[in-house]
Amino acid sequence: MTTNSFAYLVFVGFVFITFYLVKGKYRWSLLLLASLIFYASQKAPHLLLALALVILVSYYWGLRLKAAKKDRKKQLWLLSGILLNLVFLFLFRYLPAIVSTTPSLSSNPNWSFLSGLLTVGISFFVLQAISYLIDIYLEVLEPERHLGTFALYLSFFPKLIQGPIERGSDLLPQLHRPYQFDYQNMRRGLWQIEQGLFKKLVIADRLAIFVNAVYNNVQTYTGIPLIIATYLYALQIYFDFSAYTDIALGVARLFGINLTQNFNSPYLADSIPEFWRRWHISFSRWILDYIFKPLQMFMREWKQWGSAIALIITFLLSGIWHGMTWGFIVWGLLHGIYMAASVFFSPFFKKLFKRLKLEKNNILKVAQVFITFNLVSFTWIFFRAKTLTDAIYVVTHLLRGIGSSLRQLLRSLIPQVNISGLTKFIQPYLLGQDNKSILILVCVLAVALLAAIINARSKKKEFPLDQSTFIRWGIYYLLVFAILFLGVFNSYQFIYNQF
Amino acid sequence: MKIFLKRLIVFFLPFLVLYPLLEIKLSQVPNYYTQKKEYLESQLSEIEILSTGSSHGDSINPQFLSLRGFNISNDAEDIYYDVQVIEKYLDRMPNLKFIIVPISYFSFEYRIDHSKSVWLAPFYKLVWDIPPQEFISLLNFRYFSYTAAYGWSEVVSYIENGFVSTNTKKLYSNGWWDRFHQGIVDSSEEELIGWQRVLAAESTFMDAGAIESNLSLLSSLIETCQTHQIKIMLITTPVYHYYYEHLDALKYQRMQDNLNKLVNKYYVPYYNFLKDPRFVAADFYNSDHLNTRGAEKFSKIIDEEIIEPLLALTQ
Repeated sequence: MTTNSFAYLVFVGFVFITFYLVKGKYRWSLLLLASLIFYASQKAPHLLLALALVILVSYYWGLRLKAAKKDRKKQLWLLSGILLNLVFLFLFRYLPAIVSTTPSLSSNPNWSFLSGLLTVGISFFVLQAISYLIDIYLEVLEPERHLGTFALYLSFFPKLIQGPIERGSDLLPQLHRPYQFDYQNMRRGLWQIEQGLFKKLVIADRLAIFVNAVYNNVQTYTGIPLIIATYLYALQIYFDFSAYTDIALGVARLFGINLTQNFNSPYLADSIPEFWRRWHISFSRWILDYIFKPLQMFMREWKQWGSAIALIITFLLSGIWHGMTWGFIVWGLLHGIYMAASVFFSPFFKKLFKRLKLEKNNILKVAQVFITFNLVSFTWIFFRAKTLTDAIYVVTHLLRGIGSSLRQLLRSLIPQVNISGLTKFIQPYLLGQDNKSILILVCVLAVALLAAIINARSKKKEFPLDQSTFIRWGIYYLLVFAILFLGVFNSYQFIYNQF
Repeated sequence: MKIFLKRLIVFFLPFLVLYPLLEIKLSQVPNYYTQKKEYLESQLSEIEILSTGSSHGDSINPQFLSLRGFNISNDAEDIYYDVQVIEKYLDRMPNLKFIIVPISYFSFEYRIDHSKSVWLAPFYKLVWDIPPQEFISLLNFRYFSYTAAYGWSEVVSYIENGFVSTNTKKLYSNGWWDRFHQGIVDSSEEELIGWQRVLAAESTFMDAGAIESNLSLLSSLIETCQTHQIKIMLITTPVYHYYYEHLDALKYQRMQDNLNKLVNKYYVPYYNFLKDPRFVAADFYNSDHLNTRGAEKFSKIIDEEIIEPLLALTQ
């Protein structure tokens, strides 16, 4: 059962009705049961085992951590708890991936059963469990004494597969709070779910058609098609992942739970550090709080160099968290290098722009956003390419033939517009798609941009919930029909399902 | 909460109204199952010979049989649905004398609901009112809804094209599909394809765990037919050597052993045309399916070598 399926919507509806009808003190158990059923619907019993192990270990370790009086014992409980969770992560997430990609292991009868095992969700709830233990150690969180509530904290189904990675201090109090039906929250939740489905089915999965046409056969393309596919992938991964988050947050709202906002217009960031404050926010907060800060503290004597090295290590580990392939490692490393470079260059540029009185200059801002978007898009090449070889091919062939393409374009425009020449010029860059598909894509992207602009300008950021019933319902119906008739229903899974 | 529920119902009201209309329109779109059912039911009382099976069953063109025949085979059909369709109409076919059941290399180890063709199974429920082999499958809404059975992408296509049938194959009134006219060409590419087709069958939909239930179903059909004095004959249709040269010897032997069990128990005839040298590349459109010419040839052979002698015996 995927979160963009009709079956999931029926499941949520059924759980909500039951949740509303059941007595308050049983609601946590209903949500827990629903979460386990949802995870079981992934048809991978080993995942339930992994979840059970992480819940039991982290719950017990959290209590022991709190009970330990001496610092040494606290440290031992913390380190052993983190280590155990990492062992579970390795066994259930990385080992199957290693076996799948190692022919000598995948053909070995002793290891072959691990090959191709589903690993959805594990990366997220293990990080959540680790943050729980660390927060107890740092005494910013009291351990949860109710096993059921703690199990629900880790397994809450709207966020189980792809996050957000919730802090104990954010989610646990909400699980204890008695549920109160809130009409406005319901409206916001349903609207968010609808937006998420639109982003996933109409935009992200449509972009995937174009991107896959190139990235599944990179060696047959050079120049502009590679550039177009890379930019489209940057949009695809944003719409795909933020769609999941919208659905997760929307569903959680129905149950009175507010999950962490995971995206905040990341491609409007004017620097890489700003990008990471807007992209996969719960994850970037996690790696910065629990990996970067301790490393930075450890290397504080090296001052800026210490921070730079800490950032490189942090983002390298984030690449590995995504997967044990060279593509993800290079992706993480690149972001680490970008962040490290900003440690040195950011103060310099800040002073320069201040001196030149350009801090509030719009053209500079647009240039910064453009450069940041391109830097990030470049790293997505390594994230998306099937292999490192493919990624290197893309990088080395991005600009090939650009000169002759531009000359061809100019010839079809000057001295007069030559329609057939222009058509002939554009044809290879349509990535094998027909005019109707391209028109639909351009229109939906225009609608998404328009919606982003309207929302950015709206003071309450509640559009269209703050509009009249006529406009609101008009937009709701428009979106539903867009999903039904423009949606791509060929079961592309969410990109972050694989992590 | 009441206001919320009221508004939700009002919001979804158009869809609640449109959905049944959509179901009705989709049920009226001719598909391969509805067409075949229509032809079959229009001539039940005249049918003297039935042939069933999966796509391999399309090797038999009733036009070339000396008796009035009907081919009720369907792509990806398994023994369960073969038997269910026959038993559904048995009592309404007073003139039925023979039933040809093609048994292919994979037949005993194949179940449609355990294969990638499971998406076709709901149409047996929707069109023929035949439930799935596993009762629990009825929990799947696809067995009750054309919208779910077709899948939303297909439904949108139907809405866009005005609910016009997308059938491309020609179905004759005797139930036979006119598939392809071209033959295969001897080449290393074709040999590779033949090998790949065997491999695909063995790795994706053959499962020895299905043997017991399939044998039981076939036994039940044989017993029923013998009670009705209808002769059943088991036939393995011809395949090109690019296919049979790559069959797993153990699996093939298992298929033969299972056939022999039935033959010995019920004294039903079995005719094995798998490696018949009379069929050449020009008779096949791929390594395991006869084309139009091959089906005509095979049907005539069956008629001359099996049906007519059997008829002579009974007269």
